[in-house]
Amino acid sequence: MTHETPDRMNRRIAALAALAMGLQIIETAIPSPMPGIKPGLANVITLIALLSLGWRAALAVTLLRVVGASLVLGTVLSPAFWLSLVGGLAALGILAPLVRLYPRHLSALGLAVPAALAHTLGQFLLAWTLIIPHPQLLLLLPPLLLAALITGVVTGILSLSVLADPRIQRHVRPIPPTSPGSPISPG
Amino acid sequence: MTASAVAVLRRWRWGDALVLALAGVLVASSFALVYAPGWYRMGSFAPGAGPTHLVITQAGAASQMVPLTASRRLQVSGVAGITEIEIEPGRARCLRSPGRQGICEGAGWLERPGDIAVSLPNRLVLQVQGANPIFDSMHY
Amino acid sequence: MKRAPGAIRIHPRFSWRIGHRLLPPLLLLLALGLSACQSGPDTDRLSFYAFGTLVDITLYPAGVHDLVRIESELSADLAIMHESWHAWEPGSLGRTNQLLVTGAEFSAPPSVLPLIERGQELERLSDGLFNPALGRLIAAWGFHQNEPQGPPPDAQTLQALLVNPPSLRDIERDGVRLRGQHPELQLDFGGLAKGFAVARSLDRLRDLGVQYAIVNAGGDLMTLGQPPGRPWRIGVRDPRGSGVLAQIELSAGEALFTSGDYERGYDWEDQRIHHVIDPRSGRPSEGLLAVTVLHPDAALADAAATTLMIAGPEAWPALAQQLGVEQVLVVLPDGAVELTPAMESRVTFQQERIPRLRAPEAEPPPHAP
Repeated sequence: MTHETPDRMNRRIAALAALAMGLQIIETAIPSPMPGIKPGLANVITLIALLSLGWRAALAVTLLRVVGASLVLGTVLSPAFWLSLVGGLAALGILAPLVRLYPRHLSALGLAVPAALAHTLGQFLLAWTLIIPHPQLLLLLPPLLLAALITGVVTGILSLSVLADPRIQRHVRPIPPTSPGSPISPG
Repeated sequence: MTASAVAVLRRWRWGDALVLALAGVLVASSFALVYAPGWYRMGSFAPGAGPTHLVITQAGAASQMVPLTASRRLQVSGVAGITEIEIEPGRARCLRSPGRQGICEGAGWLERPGDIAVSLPNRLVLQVQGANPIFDSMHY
Repeated sequence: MKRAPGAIRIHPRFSWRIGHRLLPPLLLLLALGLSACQSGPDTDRLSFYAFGTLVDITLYPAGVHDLVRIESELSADLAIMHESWHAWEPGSLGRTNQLLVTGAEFSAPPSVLPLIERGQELERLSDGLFNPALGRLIAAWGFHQNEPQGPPPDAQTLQALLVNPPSLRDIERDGVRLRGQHPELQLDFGGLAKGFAVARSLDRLRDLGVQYAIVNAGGDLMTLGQPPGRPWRIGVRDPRGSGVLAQIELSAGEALFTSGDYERGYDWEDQRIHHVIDPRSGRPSEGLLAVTVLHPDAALADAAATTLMIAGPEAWPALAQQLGVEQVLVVLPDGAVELTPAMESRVTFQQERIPRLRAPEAEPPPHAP
């Protein structure tokens, strides 16, 4: 279904997952009012994976980065793990309908911002319903959303800049793909 | 750098502006709603002011942490009898405890981080804490 | 430019092939470094019942001590001290009391001798306000039982007890040999024993290899060492309620002791009968709700807290100076707080309080013409 060999695809996924893991680990150093809820810097990688390699790659990158980061940080199956998993899946979830508007109506920026907001909102809802159902937790939501908005803009611009690189452009194709195995750009 | 900046700008779409505007509205309204006084009882709380859980320390046992969320009653049994604890969102108190002097009950509602009630007959300390335990030890 | 199959150029200047080798170790270093930034409690807490009260031990740093061993050794030590120094149950002090009233010479039990020595010194320093020889008076008020209760002594009993009150001067001491010289002498080291017990527990922790700890016995505490990089943070409970009155930061080897009317006592016909008995009146002291003393000597802090409560709201600053304690805080019945200048710099009030400063130099001595 792609013009990549499975080997190349896997290597690309692995490389992107490693980058995403790195970003997620860096994010743990950012102070957050609610530990575990992060703006979602690693979504830039998810977005690039989605737009250049497809859905399966994006999902693989997300799962690999969540599990990998938690293994390195020692947070496997802890609340932080579930929070980052839900965040990643929520971001993917909102990208599903929105990506149909790409690239005609939305650029990567218009995808990154909702992805970041969904990421944070998903994390917050998980924290609020299952982990700390405390009425006062709601007070943290507005600053978290603001951070997510800013992160979304930043990741969007980063994604735009990466995807504008002609070397990447060869791999970017509109989704859903027009036909299996056909390269889109002239190369 | 300018080349990629131009490349970035060329990629903007009208949908982006719409998305950004909607996102901005979402974030702004979350501030307005959550911090407005009187909305859903949230406006009256200052962020981080109240305690988030009750720590029950019984001599010889590991501390128990009970979140101060739903209203409920707890019973802790000790050597002298049963200590009843009442919990409400953001506060807790010793409702009834063995001991003739009523010291535990007399502490009243524990509603600021650090507030403490002690039941010596049951060898029990109740302390409400915020997100971080602030004190290394309590002097009383 | 040759590129290996599958290489992705993320940025023209960043060569993926090199980065691809550096990245894993870099990430690992970064992760290790960042995991050190995790915050959380940096102390272990132990609590158990000993010495007739709740004992709470704070150990720094977390996770390095053998908590089980520390608890068992400390509680064993404190059990021995509790039995030796018990004011009314059989033990070394009980035997000493029996032998003192016979008037015969005897050898002091080794556990009791330090208390007697220190007690005699403190009695001199306090002009007799600190008097651990009044066990009979304290028993008359119903305090020689686990749950103190009335009825309080009637006027005749009190009168009889105050006619010729015993004191530690009535103990003749020659090395380890003692002889009692008063038939009503009964030792009760309630205002001194806990200070000794806390200091001894710190010694025991030091022997066990602990460097930084707090021993807290029923609220009275002393520090061992100070964690590198931060002071010990102590919360002071409001004596009349549950809130935190103030916060005090302690450094290495400082003891914080409080004597209060809310600790041991009972109510009798609308009157609060508490365990700090004024030797002059024979009745529970009046005028001060609580006294808190900060001092490097735990025994002195313990005795001073009790003695200053007896001294009362007018005389306490001068007596504090006499006893050699500079850092004192007192709470008055109306909730007002007074403290010495040296204490003022140590205490941060959490509740809205305007404390009054009391310094002995600023006031005329009590017996000025």
